[in-house]
Amino acid sequence: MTRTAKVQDVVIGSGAGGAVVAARLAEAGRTVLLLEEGPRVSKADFNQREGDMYALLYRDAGGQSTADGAISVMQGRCLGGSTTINMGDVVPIHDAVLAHWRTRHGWGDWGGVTDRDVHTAADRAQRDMGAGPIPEGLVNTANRKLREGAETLGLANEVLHHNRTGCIGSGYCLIGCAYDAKKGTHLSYVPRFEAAGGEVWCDSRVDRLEPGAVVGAGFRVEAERTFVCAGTVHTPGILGRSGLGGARLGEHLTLQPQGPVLAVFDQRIDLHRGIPQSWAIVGPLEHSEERGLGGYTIEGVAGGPAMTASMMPLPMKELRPFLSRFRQAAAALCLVPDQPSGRVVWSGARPTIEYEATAEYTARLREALTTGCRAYLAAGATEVILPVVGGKPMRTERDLAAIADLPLRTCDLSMISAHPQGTCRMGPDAGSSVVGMDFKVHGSEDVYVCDASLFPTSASTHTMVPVMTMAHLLANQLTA
Amino acid sequence: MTARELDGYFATTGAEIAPDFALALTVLEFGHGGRRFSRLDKDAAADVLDAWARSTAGVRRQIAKAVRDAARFTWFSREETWGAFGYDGTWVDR
Repeated sequence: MTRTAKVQDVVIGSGAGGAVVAARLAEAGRTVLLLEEGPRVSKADFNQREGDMYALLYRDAGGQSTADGAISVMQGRCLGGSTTINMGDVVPIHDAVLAHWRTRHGWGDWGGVTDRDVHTAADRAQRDMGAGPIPEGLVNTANRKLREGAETLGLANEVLHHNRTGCIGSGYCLIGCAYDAKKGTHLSYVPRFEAAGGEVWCDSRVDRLEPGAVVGAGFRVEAERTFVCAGTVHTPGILGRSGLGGARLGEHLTLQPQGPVLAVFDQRIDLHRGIPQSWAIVGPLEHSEERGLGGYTIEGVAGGPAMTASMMPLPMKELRPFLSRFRQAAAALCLVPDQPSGRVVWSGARPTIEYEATAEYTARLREALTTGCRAYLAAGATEVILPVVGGKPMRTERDLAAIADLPLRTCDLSMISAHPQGTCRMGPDAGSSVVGMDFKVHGSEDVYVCDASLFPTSASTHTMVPVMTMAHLLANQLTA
Repeated sequence: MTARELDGYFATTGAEIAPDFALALTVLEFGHGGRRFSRLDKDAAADVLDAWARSTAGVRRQIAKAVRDAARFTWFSREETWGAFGYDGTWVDR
């Protein structure tokens, strides 16, 4: 039996884009239905067990990867989307990136949207989530080690901003906060949406759009307008199955792959407790109108035992000694913005994520990994480890020279992507983009896109606030 | 444990991934030029996986990574493995 509904607006996806659009439209008096492919979840579901939570909350149970299996592409698939399982980092779009998009990607005057409008929208998103700098008292020992190393070496470093209130430092941010401290959209915009009369259908995977309707397994929703906010990988799939999007659909993918650095100290660190990501080393700033986001950051990170073990490409006989020092370990991710060098191809029911790192990206990654290792050694680490096949523990500055000789092919290094962007590029020219500057798919009058797939190049080192910013700008346009 | 735990893991990943992983296991089982992988002793099996992880053939590296990641994730998701490296467990009792 097919479930049906008739509304003014239907929104696909409850993450950073969809939840904001849905809430704003519902609060403006529209009848809105929000469709989410994943389950409705709440703190009562979050049992802090990796085996259960990756299956419940993540796309493909955390197993989504590039076609060559080299890079894990982590995306939420639950109420709140990736905002439910992210690190809670709050980083707006950099002005140099906006300038890059305006001058190099045809955003020009963006229909009158000014940089000030963008800043105001970003501020609004941060205010709605209660965002602010992470208090000094919540910076855990692992992140303090990163800071200590940076300051010893005279490297620029900074505290990160986040969207938590009332954090008790359990450390399970990546598998759902059981204390409702991290304010993903399931705790911020979705409740507002429902309070304004909006309805959410979870476990509702969209197959395609038809004229005036959204069709999925067991449901059909008629609507005047459709907002596709299913994320960088799945939005092009929905558009493609609907005969929308044109020749550039799926192209211009950036994955911003992140490579880890691990360090072992002769004291207890307990990296798995406290806020996993609170401090960052800021590499040479190369953000520019010419290239957009550049440089790199090195940010603290943590995972549970299962994720940590699966990220270590060491033979078991070498893994066991490392795990025996699990509580003395600290870890960081090198976040290196890349230029678009991939695409998402849909054939049938599943996507193929094709990506090839450029030589320029690999060179900056190598520099970031070296800097991360150097910082941990300066902070007193007894050894640092790059989780790369064939990599050896490094104990002195001299040992770091070996990094120059590592091949750093993505399949050698345990890499993750938490910020996939592109695939439905926004621009004025239908020949080189998928979505127009009014957020409508080129050639369509009633289908909008609002998620990280819009970005011509990498928007930020963390995409939650940039996507919310775009969603507020779209809502401003529609509710003015 | 691993076969049963892996079955459980792939039962949660949806229909898309399991066939690819089954193919990877089949290639590993018959494709390393010696006895069937599943009939090797533990050390010999680990040596094969390590050799594949360092292989110049991209497909072998991919298979080694997929098998290693999935097996380790499922193994170390089990509470009985945590004590070996001092992980102090969850804060909620569910």
